[in-house]
Amino acid sequence: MNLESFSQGDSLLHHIDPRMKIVAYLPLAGLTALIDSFSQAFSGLAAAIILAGIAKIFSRLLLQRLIVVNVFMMFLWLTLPFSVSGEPILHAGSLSMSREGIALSALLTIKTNAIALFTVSLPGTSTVISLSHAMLHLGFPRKLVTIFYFFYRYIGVVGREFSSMQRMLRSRAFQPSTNRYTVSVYGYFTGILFIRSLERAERIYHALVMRNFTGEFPLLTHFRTNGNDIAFLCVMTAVTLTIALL
Amino acid sequence: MHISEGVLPPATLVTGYAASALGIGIGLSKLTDRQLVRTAMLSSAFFIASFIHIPIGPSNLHLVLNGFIGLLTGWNCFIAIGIALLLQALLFQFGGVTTLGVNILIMALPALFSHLIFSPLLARNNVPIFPVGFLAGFSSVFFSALLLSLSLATAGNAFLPAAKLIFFSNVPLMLIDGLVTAIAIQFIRNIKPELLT
Repeated sequence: MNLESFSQGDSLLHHIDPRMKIVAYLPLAGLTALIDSFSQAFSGLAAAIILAGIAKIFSRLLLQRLIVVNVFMMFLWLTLPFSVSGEPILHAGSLSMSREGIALSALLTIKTNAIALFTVSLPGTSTVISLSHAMLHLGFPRKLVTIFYFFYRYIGVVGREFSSMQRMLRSRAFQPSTNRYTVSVYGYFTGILFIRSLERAERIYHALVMRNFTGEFPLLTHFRTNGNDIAFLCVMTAVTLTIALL
Repeated sequence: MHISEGVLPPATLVTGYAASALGIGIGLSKLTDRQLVRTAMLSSAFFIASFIHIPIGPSNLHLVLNGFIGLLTGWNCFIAIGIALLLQALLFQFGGVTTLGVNILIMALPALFSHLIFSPLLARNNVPIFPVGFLAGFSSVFFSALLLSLSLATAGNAFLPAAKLIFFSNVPLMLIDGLVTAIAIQFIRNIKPELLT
């Protein structure tokens, strides 16, 4: 199961210090979430598309991800044009769509997609392990980062268990469909998945205790910031300030 | 079941972060090393279980199981759900970093509720386990959908129809999550009852 497809690449952004990416990303995402004018939203989206271009991540996979992101937006497009009062522009029976409602849906859609692209091109171009390493250096709670590290490490293990159980179902010609049988098969499936995970957790805990684990891992390697990283942070700060002041 | 970026007002986002940080803080303060490994592993299983898709007519639903994770992790459900949602936001852009606090609260508060109400019932031998498991799964998705709709409603009255639409579109998920939770809990109780204590 390859989860981090976007972190494998060789663009400029892939080589930036993950700490710098987190520091640049958080204010940019926060700002984009709060803006309420089209000029700011469009400049945010433009910045996001440029960043995605620099990261060289345009692909069918990116398109699929964006479609999923926009499912939530579909609910807003289905309702906001009718529920926001304003100048009516289209009538469908007793309902009328307002210009303001369509504008609000469009604004929210632009913001969501801009932030999604920021996420893929900034933290998304680092591996999750290097991001959790960076979080430690940026002062996130150690215990939380340690749990996150274990969690990420064992997704692969639980994922393999999941795939082998799915293979087992397929080899017995199981066809999922809308019926009680499918639900009960997946109920047992879930039960086994969690039992095996918990048994594994016990074994891992004993192995850790034997190796003198005391709740956290020592940090042996450290990040080194170079000129590119500083330049990146300066440019990103300028972009964030420009969007904020527009 | 996540709220996308850029929709909610700042007050809601901050409230979500504050409440989730409190929940995670309480969990971390009592966490032993044994529970640390256990919580991380349960969180991995929770993340992987969300890949289970159940076909509903032409479409399909993916399981949430937040009530189930609440029964297994107790007060650590904020941590288990929080790290899984962080990874989903990073890797799949479900939800997002600004709405992370709200999204954790939406999923973890009903999970905690399910632990507080239903775990004592499961510990007793004279209570039938299937209905308790069903209620734990059903009510967790019910309250998550309700919290999601309420947080969407804080964005303004114009969002009320969308909030209602999202709530009602989650009704099939409540039933299926309830059934899967009931069967899985019953199974665990029969095979390895010590996991529920």
